[in-house]
Amino acid sequence: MPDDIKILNQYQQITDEICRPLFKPTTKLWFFAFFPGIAGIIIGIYGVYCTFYKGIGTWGLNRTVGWGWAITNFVWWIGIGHAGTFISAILLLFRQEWRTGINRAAETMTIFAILCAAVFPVIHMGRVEFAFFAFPYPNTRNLWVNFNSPLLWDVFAISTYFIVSLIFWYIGMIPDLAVLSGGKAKKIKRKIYSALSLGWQGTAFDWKRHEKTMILLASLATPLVISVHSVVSMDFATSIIPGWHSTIFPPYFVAGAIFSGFAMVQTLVIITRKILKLENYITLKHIDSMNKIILLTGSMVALAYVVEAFYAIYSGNEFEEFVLLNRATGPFALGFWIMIFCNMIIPQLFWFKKIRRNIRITFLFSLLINFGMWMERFTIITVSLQRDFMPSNWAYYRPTFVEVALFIGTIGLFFTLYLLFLRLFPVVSFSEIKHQIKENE
Amino acid sequence: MEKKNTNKNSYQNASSRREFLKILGFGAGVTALFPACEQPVRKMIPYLIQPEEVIPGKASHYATTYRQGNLICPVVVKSRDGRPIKIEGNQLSSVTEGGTNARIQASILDLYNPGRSKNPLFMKNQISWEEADLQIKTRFEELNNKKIAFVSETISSPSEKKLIEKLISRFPNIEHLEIDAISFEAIRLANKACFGMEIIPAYQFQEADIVVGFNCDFLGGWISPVEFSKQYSKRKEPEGNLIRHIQFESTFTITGAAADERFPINPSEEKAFLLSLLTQIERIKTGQKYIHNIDYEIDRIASELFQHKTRSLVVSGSNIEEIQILVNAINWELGNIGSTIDFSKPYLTFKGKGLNIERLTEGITTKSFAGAIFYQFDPLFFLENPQLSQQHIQDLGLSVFMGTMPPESEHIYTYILPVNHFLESWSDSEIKQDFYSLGQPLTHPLFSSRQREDILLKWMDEDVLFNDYLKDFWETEIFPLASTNLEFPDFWDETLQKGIFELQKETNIDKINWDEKSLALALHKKNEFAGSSVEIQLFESSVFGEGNQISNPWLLELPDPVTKQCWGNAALISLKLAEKLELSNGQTIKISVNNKQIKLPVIVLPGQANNTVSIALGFGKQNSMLNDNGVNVFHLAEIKNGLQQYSLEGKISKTGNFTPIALGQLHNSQEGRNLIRKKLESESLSNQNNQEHKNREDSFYEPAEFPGYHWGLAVDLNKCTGCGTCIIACQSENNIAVVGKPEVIRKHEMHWLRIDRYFEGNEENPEMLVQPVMCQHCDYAPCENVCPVSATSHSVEGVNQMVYNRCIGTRYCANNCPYKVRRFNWFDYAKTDVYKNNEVVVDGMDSDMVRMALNPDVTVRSKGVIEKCSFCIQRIVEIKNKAKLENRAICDGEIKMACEQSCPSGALVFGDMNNPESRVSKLIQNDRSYQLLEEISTSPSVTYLRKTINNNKLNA
Repeated sequence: MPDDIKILNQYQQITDEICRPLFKPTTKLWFFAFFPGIAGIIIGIYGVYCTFYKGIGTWGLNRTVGWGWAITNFVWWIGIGHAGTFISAILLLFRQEWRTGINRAAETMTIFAILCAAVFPVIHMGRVEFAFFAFPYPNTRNLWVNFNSPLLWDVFAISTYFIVSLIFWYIGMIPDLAVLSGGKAKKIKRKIYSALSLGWQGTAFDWKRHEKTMILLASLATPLVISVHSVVSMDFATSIIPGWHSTIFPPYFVAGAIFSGFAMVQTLVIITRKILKLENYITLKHIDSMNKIILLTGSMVALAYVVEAFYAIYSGNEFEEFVLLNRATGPFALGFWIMIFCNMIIPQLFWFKKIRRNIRITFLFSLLINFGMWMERFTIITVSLQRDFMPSNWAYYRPTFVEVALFIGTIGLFFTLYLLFLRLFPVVSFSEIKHQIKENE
Repeated sequence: MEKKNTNKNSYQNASSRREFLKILGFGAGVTALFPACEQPVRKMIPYLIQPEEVIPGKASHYATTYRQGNLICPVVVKSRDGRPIKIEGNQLSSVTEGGTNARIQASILDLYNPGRSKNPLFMKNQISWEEADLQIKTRFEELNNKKIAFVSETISSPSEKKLIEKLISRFPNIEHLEIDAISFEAIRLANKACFGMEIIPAYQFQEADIVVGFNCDFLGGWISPVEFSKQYSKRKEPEGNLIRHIQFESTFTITGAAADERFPINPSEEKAFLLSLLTQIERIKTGQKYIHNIDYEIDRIASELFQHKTRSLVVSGSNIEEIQILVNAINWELGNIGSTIDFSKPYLTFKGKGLNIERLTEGITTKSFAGAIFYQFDPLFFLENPQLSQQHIQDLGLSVFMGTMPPESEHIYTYILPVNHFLESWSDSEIKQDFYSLGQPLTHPLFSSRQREDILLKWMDEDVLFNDYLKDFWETEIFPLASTNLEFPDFWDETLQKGIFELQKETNIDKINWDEKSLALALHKKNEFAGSSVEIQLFESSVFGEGNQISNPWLLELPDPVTKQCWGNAALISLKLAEKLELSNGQTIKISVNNKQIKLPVIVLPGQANNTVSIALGFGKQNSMLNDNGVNVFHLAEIKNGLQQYSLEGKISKTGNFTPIALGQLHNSQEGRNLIRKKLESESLSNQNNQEHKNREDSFYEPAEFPGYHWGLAVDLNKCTGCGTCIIACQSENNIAVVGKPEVIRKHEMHWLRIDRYFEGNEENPEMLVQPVMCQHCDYAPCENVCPVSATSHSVEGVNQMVYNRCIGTRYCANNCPYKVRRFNWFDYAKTDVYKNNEVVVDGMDSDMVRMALNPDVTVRSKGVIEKCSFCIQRIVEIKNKAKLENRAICDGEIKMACEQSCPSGALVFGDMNNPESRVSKLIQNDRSYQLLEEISTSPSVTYLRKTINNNKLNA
């Protein structure tokens, strides 16, 4: 039983504390965070404009490197979007009680991260206006999509994951919304909350149904956590490019995704608990537990790196050997060593309890891990492409301002949405917390 | 809002006149608005009266002759709906045998070049032709007692020659000066000194068992490169009698790359090596033996040559008389004169004289010439120097420039008269003695230009057009030579149809005698190179030649076969020199030669002779729409003993500036990856090759089956010289966009076919390996299964097809292609986009004029789609339809891909792999065949044949 919550025996107090930011006037701190977000979106829109109007040529890609920052960012965002469902679904099934403090934040993060991720595969298309070709819809031209293509699997995997995550997030929020509809919000807001709560009465019958639905959805979402990033990894694994063509990719990518997702949850949760003064709900215990998962998945990622290097050497395949050599010593070696440092070495420090429970170090490490994971995707995607089979094609890739603008745009979008969420919905699921107190009594 | 109201009202009462107008207005607005989002619509002009012989959509072919400076080539031009769109070689010609080169292929674009001279100009003002004729004639009369220079390149047209003679008899004050921008006059003079014949003889590379070249790029530029490429390729079949080729040269050329052995030498050393070779041959001939053999290599080469005497050939590209005399002496000693060197069919090109340059310069400076007519010869491009500057030409009483493109410093000429492109002109040419070819226009002149001969006829008050004049000339002068039963009109029609006329008679020449005095004369002259400075070698670019087509964007974007540089030239320096001066690619150096200075970026070229700087001629036209066209170095050349010299002494210094260079390939080594395979002639392949082919048989997958035709291409790397003609042919056939220098630097080039070039071995003198790479049309194509929308798929005939209008541009296919042959339309290169003004187009390439060069059978690709080699699917379909109508199967060799058809060496062969008798099947069965990256089991339809190095050296 969480010691910290024990003292709060009044449900009302919980509700008030968690919902405080929803009713208070907007703080300066919030605006301080919100404006950079909006500025980021504006920069991003400029990037989109350049891309659509002039063409993909405004990016730094070339005839050798067809995918650069955009796909790197896509994989990175999708990876981040992994922790939410992992926390809500898998930890729910495993009855990990500590998840209640952070699951709402994590799920929200997932939804917004997928939105950000989805921007990239769409705008990286040469002809965005025909993006709908990628959906298998009946048409008079008798054209059909290619089910052999991992990109098509992506379309299904990501849209399924998004829909299921959205439903999970929403259904989990219904009891909270019902409470809010009767709270101190303005009349119009109350009406909206009320409509969104779908007539929740809080009866035993309601709760029974709700719990069953949650378990059912959790069982549905669990395989998705594994499948989404496995499918994303197959974009690379099924290809023949040395450095992409690797059977270890699905588990390696899933571990990496959960790893980076938890790092991002740490970043968000540490900021949120500070700004919204939720130290009593999001406690050191949560942070410690998440660091343990980071340590576990980080070790899996480290193992994958070692295995990949071993395969390259053991295979005797000159192209594979060269990829390893090129990553470690080629023109983009810095990125490789950043990746090794951030993803292999940093998480190992979480073996020490003192470090695990130090909020500042955790915050710093969470940022480093996300940076390292971005570098990992960059190294895999573009460094492999730059030097593949035929040396006559070898070329370099450097991003242009447009690509950087697009990335800034998605970061802006992510934080803007998250900050809006903080103002409109409870960031901690108070009904679940109350539930837990009752169970523990 | 308005619409809503309208609906409401119309419901209530029948629509009034007012309502009707409202709806009409709205409707008009909508119709005006929506098409604005459509693909741009282009103008078309239909025929007012349909010509009987033109069937829309059906191409017609006409034989004509390409003529630009000293490059003359019989060609067949494909015309669609009255506009010429593609040039092919004329296979009936026994000189070029259907070969072309990059310049010839690209000349179709010159026809539609929007930068062409469009109207006659008098002091920059437009005037009519009648006025110009009258004024110029009056000036001729006025300058009656003063000389007028008539400057042209070598005139090899018999009728034109006669016409100019006539002009001179009409205006005796006109003096004809023939000047070649790049001259081989020394060969003529040496032949005069040695054999008493001032000619360039016919060289027969196909007859030679061994060729030794000294700075002689006979496959790229020397005298008749298309013809020599054909001849040479016939002896590059290891299954037959493989030629042995040793090359001494200063910079790397494609000829040096084709050689079995190559030695980098400085231009100043050429004489010494030739002399030593001559001495060795004489020693061997007299049976003398050395006790101490020091000069090992030269001795061995001499023995090799002597072993193949009368079947050997020594050639030099030098324009120094004594060097050519030494070459003659060697060929004479080896008995090559009369066998591999044929004096009976000399070339009629390259008759210009260095003395004429001196005469012109002197005449203009001393004002003994009161006027000058520049007959398709741009004096400031080729000859500008302090003695012949803008001011000098401006000071002339009359300066007339006649040309297709405007000259340098347009404003200085009194008259500029636009001349027809060869596709708008009648012409005849005599390439070699007795080898005639005829040229006919394919289209009406696009601008207010005239055929150059017509201008002369008008000046002479001849009331006849040149085509009639030409016909008359042939009737009186050439028809009598023909041994034919035909009447002249039939003979004329037949010749015009064939495009060529070759006299079959044997020309007997008197016995050739060797003049002993000549050699003494040659030996007497001293080598003048001081040795303290750097040697500057100006060489003929194998792409641009003399540079008449420098305003051609296709050619500018063609990577140089050796340096892979696009859009300009550079100073090529050796590794050692670069190390000494701490230079790397793109750094600018200052070169000073005889008080003349130029600045150029450097390219460090492996295999470049030490202490030499080589610069390609023919670049750097100032008056061009295309700024990135290099630096002109013609003015560095000097005249010594009346001959133009291209090897000079000079000094170089670093400037510290940097000029970005657009390179088509960034990595020079193939990293031991066995992409371009080679073998020694003496080595047997059967075991090794079987091992490699085993991979395919062991495959996990069933072999793909193609029941009907299975198209395939074989590329013989032993024949391919890497000249790049196929790239231009492909560009012309398949409407491939030009992207410009900044885009090439960003590696956005669009060529469907590229030529990979690697250096291998010793860095100072490496081997250069070349390989054309196009879509390999893999049976298990990695690109096909990754496309989410099936925009690329396999045809039942084994062709990997790209469906542009299905493509959404994910570029996944391009990433997954191990050969990286897929090209993405990064920008709107072809002005086909929905959005306006967003195109990235090279100056002039977006004009409606240039669009006329497009092949209507091939889609112009829009922004955001992938494109790639289609195996010229439009050609396959055309022949298939034809065969179907005639109810027969397609014959082998009937379908020719654009690259295959243009290749002067016959290195590419296309055909049906299901037919065991087809040429391509036989090549696949060859021991030398292999597939690119066969270990990754893509099972390509393109097969390569190993390069074979003839290593049958003698141990002397």
